[in-house]
Amino acid sequence: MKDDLTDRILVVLSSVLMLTAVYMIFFYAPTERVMGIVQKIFYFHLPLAFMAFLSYFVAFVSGVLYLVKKDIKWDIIGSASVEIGVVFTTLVLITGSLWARPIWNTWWTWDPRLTSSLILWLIYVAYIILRMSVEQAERRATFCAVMAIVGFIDVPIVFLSARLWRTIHPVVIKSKSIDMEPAMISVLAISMAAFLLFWITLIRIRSRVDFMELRIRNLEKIKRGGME
Amino acid sequence: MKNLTYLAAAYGIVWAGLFSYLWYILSKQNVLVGRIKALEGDD
Repeated sequence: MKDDLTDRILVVLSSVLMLTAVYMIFFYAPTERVMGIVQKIFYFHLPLAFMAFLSYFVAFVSGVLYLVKKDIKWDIIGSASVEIGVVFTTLVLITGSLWARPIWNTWWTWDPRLTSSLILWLIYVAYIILRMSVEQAERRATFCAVMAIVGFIDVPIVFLSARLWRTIHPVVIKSKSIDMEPAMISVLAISMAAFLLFWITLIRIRSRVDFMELRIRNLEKIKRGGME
Repeated sequence: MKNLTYLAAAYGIVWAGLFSYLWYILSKQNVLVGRIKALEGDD
């Protein structure tokens, strides 16, 4: 009951923040001189990518904690994070493609940033497939923890790809500065806050679903035991 | 005008994607709440 109320507050708050962000994107943020209005995809594209990275980081930490403590709680949090990470990465790839078409004149190019992002998506889709294919809970949790840890190697590669290799993907956040107008930075900050709040909401609900499934399995086990 | 179409498509897909996923996990949660209630009610 208390969880339901918190979820509702979080959904309302993140929706309000998102609407504020959309308003500011169209009526406050300046239009970029070269790319024009389509550059405004950036205000959703970048926060989506950051939230995907955050999801995989949580999965990485949960994987380490599961292997150390062998507590199923960490497996549940890790799997919830990966699923949400895959949703966000899918949207990053789609929005990136929609931005690339009018600017680069192509939907897709095998650029280091794009290729490493696609590999990231494939790694975590494979994680979900692995999760569905192993029956025994402990073995599944161990395999998935290892995969979340190893898969995380690609996250810094994606982040650094546009800095390390020759790429056509723009680098906005540099080591000592952000290459944007102050008005653009404030709109990006609001958009980032909106997506973070939404991400927290999703993680809470998604993890609870898995905890509920675990509870159902335990209740069914108790029931079966009582009947025998 | 063409650029506006790409922009609208991107925003539409993001909103539709995120809220459909939210709806999907919320409905899954509701089903499980019902299942738990039924199992606990059987005791």
